[in-house]
Amino acid sequence: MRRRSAAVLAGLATLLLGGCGVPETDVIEAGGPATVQVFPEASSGLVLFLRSPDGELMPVIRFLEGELEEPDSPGAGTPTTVAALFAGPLPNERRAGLTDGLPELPGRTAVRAVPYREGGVEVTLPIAVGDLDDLAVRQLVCTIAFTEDDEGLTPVRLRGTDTALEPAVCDEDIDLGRLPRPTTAPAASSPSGSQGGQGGRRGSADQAAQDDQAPSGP
Amino acid sequence: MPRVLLIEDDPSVREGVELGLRRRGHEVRTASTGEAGLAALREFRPDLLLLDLMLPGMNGVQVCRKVRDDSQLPIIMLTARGDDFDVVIGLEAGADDYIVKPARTEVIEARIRAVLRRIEEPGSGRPVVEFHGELAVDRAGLTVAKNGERLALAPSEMKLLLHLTSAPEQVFSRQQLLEHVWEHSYHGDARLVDACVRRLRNKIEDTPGSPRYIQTLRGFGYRFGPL
Amino acid sequence: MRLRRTAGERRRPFGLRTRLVLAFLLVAAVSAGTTAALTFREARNAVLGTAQDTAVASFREQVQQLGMELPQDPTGLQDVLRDIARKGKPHPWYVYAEYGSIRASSAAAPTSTVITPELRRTARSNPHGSFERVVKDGVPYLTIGMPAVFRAGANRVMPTGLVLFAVMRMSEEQAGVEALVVAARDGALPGLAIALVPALVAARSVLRPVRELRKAALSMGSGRLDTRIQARGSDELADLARTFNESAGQLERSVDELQQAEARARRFASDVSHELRTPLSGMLAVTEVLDEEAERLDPDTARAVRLISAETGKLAVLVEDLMEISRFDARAAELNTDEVDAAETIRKTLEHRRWTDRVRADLPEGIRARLDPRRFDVVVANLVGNALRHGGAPVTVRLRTAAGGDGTALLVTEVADSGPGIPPEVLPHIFDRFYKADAARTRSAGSGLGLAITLENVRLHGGTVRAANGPEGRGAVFTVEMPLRVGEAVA
Repeated sequence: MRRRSAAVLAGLATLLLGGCGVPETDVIEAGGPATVQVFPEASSGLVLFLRSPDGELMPVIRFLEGELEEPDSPGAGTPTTVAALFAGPLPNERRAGLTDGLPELPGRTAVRAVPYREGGVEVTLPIAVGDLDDLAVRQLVCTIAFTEDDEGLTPVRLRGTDTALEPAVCDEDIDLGRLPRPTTAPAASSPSGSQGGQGGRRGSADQAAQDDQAPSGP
Repeated sequence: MPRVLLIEDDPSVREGVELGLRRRGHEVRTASTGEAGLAALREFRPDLLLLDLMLPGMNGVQVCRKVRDDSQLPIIMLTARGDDFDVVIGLEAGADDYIVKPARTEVIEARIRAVLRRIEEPGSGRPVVEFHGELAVDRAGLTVAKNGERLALAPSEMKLLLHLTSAPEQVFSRQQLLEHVWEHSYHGDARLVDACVRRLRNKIEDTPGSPRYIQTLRGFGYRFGPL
Repeated sequence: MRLRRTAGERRRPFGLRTRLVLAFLLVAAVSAGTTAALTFREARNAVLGTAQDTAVASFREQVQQLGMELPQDPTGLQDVLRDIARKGKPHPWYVYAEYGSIRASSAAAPTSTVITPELRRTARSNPHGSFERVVKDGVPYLTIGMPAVFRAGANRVMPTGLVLFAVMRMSEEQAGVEALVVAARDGALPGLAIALVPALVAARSVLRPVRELRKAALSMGSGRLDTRIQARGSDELADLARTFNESAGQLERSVDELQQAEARARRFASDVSHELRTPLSGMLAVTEVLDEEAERLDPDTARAVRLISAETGKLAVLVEDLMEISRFDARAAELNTDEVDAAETIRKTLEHRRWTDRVRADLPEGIRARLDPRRFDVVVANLVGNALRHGGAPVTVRLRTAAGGDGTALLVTEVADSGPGIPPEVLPHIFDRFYKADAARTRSAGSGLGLAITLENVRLHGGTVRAANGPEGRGAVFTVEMPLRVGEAVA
């Protein structure tokens, strides 16, 4: 009897006192990210994807040098952009700890971009793409995609001196650390946490994967 | 030898006591009922009555009262211990002493002798008749008169009065009175004394409720006077 | 409620009333506490939620004001952070930023110790705002992680790689929550105090029948077996009352039967003695005749006649003693007290039985006592007679007065002999009726009731008698203690 009432009292005390004050919580998601203004804007600048010391994909936007002189120019072409990427970070980018993580490009003219099926683009690089790490592939894919269109939705197929990779989309904006994937396997291309408003892009990514017909697992 | 009338309904007791007393020289007449006993009383003229309390028909107490109506015959009750209430009633009715059955003949005879024994004559130099207030006590003639009128006192009452008046204002304990007046043991039944005192007071006191002659000293006993 | 208790009875530390009230209060406390706790939690969550939502929204708002180059320029970053830090809502906060290898903050240190790795990982891998409450050194903090994204094209947002963190102390919220606790407690305690009233009322309603039961039980215990309880209602207590009544009824019947049986047994003993007495009266009256005539008879007949005479006497004594015991059993024994000189009384007893020269008497003069002389004579005579019969000479009778336990004066009579003493196994039974110390002994000189009658007589005086052996283990000592003034001590 006494032991039971002691237990009841203890429980009561826990309920009353243990819940006092401000308890800790887990990490709780609360709304979307903060959308900031960048300048130059992605559409008017040269968008390159570098990498952070933590292995994250880091977009940088450089002013186009020729923009002011040639306002009507269609913007930098993919070979130019890819060459800029391979050229490595500028000093200010390096100050922020950003690197390119790519090998040296033998020559500027060696990069060719030709249209691929379904609005994609195939970029031929004068290097062995098979040796590139995942992040490097992704840097290339995203950089090329954002060069091809403002929203970076263009599927990209990389062809090197050794082989050609599966077409990929610069898509996975949720977990930058795990991208890119050289092949777009269906499972990998359907991130569950994607936000509303991005459904269209996902759809196109799926389509691209189906177009490839032979999704070979990594 | 004294003549004894025994009223007892139980034949064995009757016969046994009669036999015992007769052998000791008493003249004994027996009766088995109160009525027969009263009849024998007038004819036999005993010196003493031995009366069983539990009698068929007229019981011992009634017989006792009847006798006391016109006689100062010494009466000894025969009783069975445990009939305490009857003892008191018997004593109130005027019995002088009682004997608890069963009793040896020698005990019965001793009681008879005690009841019949006269109080010792006072020593010389005392008047034959003493006057205490309105009481005139004649020790020789064994009569007591109040205001010249003679009082009928039973033997035990007479003896008690004589004993008390022999030493006026002296306190006697109940036990002393039992020893001297009744010749009982010191540890006898003090109710004998109390009952006798009550009876005596009824006869000699003006107001028995506040006695003058026989006074009680609580915790000690009785004394005669002071007047 | 205070129960009178017999020795050895165990008692709970709290009475029934206390326990009932405590139980009631416990229930009240539990319900009040639960209500208070739940209300408190809701209120606390509301307080904290409001603070958090405000903080997260406000932080996002502040961050969204930013314009930036990519890559982020580390030099201007700290100024920007300080600017945001000043605009903290609802409280000032510290703002931290991570970009590539750049770590900047509005505070002195570029990184915070409060921000957990989980929050960092979430903020950097997930384009959502997120927060975490952390308690460090007893101070609660709200930490917010806010990744900055930029718009790419019409529909697409891309992470900038810049993640901002805000760290806000929740001291005020804590104070608010503590105020809630105080409020809950202050609300609950008067509630408990008020609950005491119905608790006492309920306890009373439960305890009244219990008290009645107790009174009834006490009443039964003091011999009033016809005690019954009024059983009202149909609750457990009423059942208990009914059960009590039934049990009491059965007990009364059983006791009644027992008493009747006992009364029958006593009456039988009394009747037998009574019936024996009448023939004995006749026989005893003639034993003298037998004794006298025996001398003249032939030896065998003479022996037979003397035997009958002697045994008749003993039988008479036995019957008298039986009658006496029956009277005690029937509580018909009367005490006729008188004022006596105690020494004189004992001296007369010894004289009467001619024991004066065989018994040493130590009888101080002047002790006046109130007792029944006849019964006291029986007591002394039985004890001295017993000592003379079973103990060794000399037998000593001592008389003295003493103060009893409750202050009453006692008359103490001691009868000691110089015999072998009483065997220890006999001592407890020495006052039993017909108890024979020696099983082989056929019959003692007495009736076997002497000491039992002694005990009853002493008890009738309100006294005690005990038997023991003398200091050297030799000689039995019987000690009688009676009130010096029987019938007066008891007011």
